[in-house]
Amino acid sequence: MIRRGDLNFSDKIFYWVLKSLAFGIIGLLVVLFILLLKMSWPIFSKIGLSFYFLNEWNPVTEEFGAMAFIYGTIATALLALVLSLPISLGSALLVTELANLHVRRVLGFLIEMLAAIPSIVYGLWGLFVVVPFLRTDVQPFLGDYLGFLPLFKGPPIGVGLMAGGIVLAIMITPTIATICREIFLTIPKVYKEGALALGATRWEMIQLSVIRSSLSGILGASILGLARALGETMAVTMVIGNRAQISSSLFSPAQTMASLLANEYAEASSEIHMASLTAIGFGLLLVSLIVNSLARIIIWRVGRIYRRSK
Amino acid sequence: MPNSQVQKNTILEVKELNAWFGDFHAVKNINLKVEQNDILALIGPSGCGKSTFIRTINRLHEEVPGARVTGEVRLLGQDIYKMDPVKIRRQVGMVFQKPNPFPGLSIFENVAVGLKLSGIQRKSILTEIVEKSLKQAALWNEVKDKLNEPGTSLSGGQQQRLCIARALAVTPPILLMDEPTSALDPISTARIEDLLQDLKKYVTIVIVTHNMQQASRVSTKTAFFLSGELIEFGDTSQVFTKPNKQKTEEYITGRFG
Ligand SMILES: Nc1ncnc2c1ncn2[C@@H]1O[C@H](COP(=O)(O)OP(=O)(O)O)[C@@H](O)[C@H]1O
Ligand SMILES: [Mg+2]
Repeated sequence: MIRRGDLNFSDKIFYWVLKSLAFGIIGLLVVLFILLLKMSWPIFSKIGLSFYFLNEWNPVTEEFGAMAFIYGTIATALLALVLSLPISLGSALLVTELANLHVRRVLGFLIEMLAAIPSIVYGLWGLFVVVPFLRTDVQPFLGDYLGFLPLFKGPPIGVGLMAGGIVLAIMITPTIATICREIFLTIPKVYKEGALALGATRWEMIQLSVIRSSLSGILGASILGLARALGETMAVTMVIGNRAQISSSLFSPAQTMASLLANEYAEASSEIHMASLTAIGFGLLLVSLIVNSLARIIIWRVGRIYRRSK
Repeated sequence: MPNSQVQKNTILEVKELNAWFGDFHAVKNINLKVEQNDILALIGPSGCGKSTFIRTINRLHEEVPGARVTGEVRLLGQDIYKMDPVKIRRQVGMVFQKPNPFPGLSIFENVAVGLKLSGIQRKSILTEIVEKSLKQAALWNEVKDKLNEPGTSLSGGQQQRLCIARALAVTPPILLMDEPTSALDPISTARIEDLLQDLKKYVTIVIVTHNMQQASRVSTKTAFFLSGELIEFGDTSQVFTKPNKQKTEEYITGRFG
């Protein structure tokens, strides 16, 4: 700790500037909250919180409810998580436990590079590669063999929940894989060697000493990935199909909260329309904050347990 | 007394063993034999290669990236470097410096891990062997009413005995211990030293220790390592009372180390 009395004059100024900047960030968040709430007030005063539970979106008749977008957001984010988790875990295990030094470096670097690709590029890739492939190959195949499941019913259009989920899955993989890798690296070597010394194969060692002791960390990483998927806008907008509906089929077009905002905010037709969009933004902010804090708390606690046991 | 020695079985035989970390030659040309029911103590100053040597006996050394071994290690006559390392490790128990019960596993599960890895599933068999192993490790009375509690909930000394039980459960012919008491308090240390005398009946023991009193108390044979070389190897009473090498004498009389 630096005591304030130890600082000379210019350091003092520097200290206060930094301090006010840091608090400014928190202040900004508070202002954002108040502003969003104020701007969405017309819709809240009209129908209250039931806004978030109505499945209705009609700017012409001015009937607004956010349920379809909440559904689309959660469905794509969960699908992304389900698809990304095995890939992320697999690559984190490969990097920390299995590959040789050279492969480790290259693979770790490539995964981190995925995080640097702009969202719009993922969107283009989704639109021109993923969507056509889903339309002509994957969805007809799934429809033929698993079409009896509600998940795979309906015409193979390409755009929709499935395309959104896949693009999101790739986008959240660097987040989850990198955090999992960090967690695996904190596991003391003596647990891994303990398993090997008992005659565990590499895979058994991973189950015994790596996965088991990082379960809550993996959970934290997943939630953080989920948070990223919830808020992602551009790439999803391009492949989701932009239709306000709730369908159990992954083939159907849908809409997420973030992509609805991107689509309609510029051309909101009335005050109540604008208020409804803002209320969706408010809900998204709230959910992201909660989900992110949850993930941070879990990850922080995991780190603390290991720091103590070392 | 050579005659009594002849009847003993050789459990472990090491011939011209060398171990490297990359270019660093950590263990140099070791030759020694360990007979049934021996307790071999490895002594020597820190960094002399005791851990490295003991880890070549269950092929754990090669898990370190860049590590390498040459020479022969024969366990019950089989050349372990010509076999599957996983199979070898199932026949060699190991206890580490820091107690390492698996996080998230109960006391029972910790002891049963090795059995499960070798494919034993039957609950009745597991229960029987777990009890026997915990008794051998002198831990049964303390834990018999809380077998389902996490292994990590025990005290340090208990955790170390749990790890001993875990290693004994698969009835290995040999048990390797790398400074098993150096992280423990004096009372826990004394309990484990007593335990070793009982264990001798079931299993041959190789123990690394930096504590010379411990070596002279618990072992029947002593090997003195210095800078990766085996300087002297013989009966513990002889090594501690009339060492053949001057270096050994200097070390045990505390002139360096
Ligand atoms: N992972 C490693 N990589 C490189 N050198 C190592 C490694 N582990 C140990 N060494 C070196 O090998 C030598 C022997 O180490 P070790 O067997 O642990 O000694 P001891 O157990 O007798 O204290 C030491 O000089 C140590 O620095
Ligand atoms: Mg050592």
